[in-house]
Amino acid sequence: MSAQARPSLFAMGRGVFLQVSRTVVILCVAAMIVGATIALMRGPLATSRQPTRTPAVTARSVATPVPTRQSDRRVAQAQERADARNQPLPERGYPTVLRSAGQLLGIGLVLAVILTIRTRVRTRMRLSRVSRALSAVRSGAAEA
Amino acid sequence: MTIDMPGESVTNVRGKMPRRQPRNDSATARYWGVRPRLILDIVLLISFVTLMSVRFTGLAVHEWWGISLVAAIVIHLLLQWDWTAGSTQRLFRRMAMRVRLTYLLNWALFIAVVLLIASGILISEVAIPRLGLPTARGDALFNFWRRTHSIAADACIVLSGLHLGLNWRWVWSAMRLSIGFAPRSRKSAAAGGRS
Repeated sequence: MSAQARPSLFAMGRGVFLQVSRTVVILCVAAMIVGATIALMRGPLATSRQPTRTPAVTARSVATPVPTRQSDRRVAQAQERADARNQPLPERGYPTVLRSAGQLLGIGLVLAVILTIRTRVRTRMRLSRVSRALSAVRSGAAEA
Repeated sequence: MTIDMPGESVTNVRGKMPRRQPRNDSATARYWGVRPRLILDIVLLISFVTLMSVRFTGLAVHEWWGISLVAAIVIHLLLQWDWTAGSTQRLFRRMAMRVRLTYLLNWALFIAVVLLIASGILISEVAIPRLGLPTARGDALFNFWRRTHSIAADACIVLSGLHLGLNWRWVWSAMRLSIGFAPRSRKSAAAGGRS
C-alpha cells in the first residue's frame, strides 16, 4: 500500500473523534428516552394508578368466618384451578424462537412484496405515460 | 427515478440505466464494505430472534448477550448516521412518503430497543448484580419494568420486521453482492438465460 493511500494521522484522529461523539449522542438520546419513561411513570402516570386504599385492620375484620367443609373444598378447588391457569406452560424455548423468526420474516416479506409490486406498478404507469406523450409528440410532428 | 433509501442507491429497473447497487458512500461506511454490514445486520436479526426466549438460552446467556448487543446496535446506527442526519434535515421539506415512513419507523424501533435494553438491565438477575451495580429489584417500579421488557420485545419483533421489509432491496442487493451474484446488464442477463 502506498503512503498516499494511507489516511493521515489527523484524518484518523478526526474519524475516531467523530465516531466517539456520535456514539455519545446516541447514548444521550437513549438516556433521554429512559429518563422520560421514568419521569412519566413517577409523574403523570403514577397519579392515575394510585394504590387502592387498604381497609383498616380491626379485630372484626381479622376474625374471618370459619368456612364449612363444603365451602372449604370449593375454595381449595378454585384455588387449584387458578394456580393451574397462572402457571406458565412448560416450554423448551425453541418454539418461541421459531415463532418470533416467523413473525419477523413474515412481516418483512409481506411488506417487501407489497412495496415491490407498488414500485413496479408505478414504474409501468410512468413508462406508459411517457410513451403516450412521445407518441403524441411524434404524431404532432408527422402532421406538421 | 431515484428513491432515497438508507444505504441504497436505486436507479431504474430496465436494462439501459444502471441497476441497484448497495450504496457505500457515507464517511463511516467507507471503512466498512457491504459484507461486514450485512453480517452485522444478520447477527442483529439472529440475536433479536434468539433472545426472545429466555428458556432457549438460559438467563445468564440471555442477559450477557443482550448487554453485548448494545455495541452492535451502536455500530449499526453509526453506519447509517449520514442517512439519519440527512433525513432529519430534510424531514420538514419535500420528502418521499416512504422515506418519511422509514424515518419514523426507525425512531420507533430505536425507542423500543432502548426501552428493551434499559428494562432488561433494570430487571437483571445475573449480569448486572455480578458487575456490582444496582438493579430495580425491590423497587416500586420493578413490575413496570418487567412489563415494559416484554412489551418492548414484542414491539421490537414487529418493528424489526417492518424495518427489514422497508430495507429489503438493500438486503437483497447486499446478499447478491456478497454471494457473488453481481448485478448484470440486461444483455448479459439475457445471454445467460436468467432474468
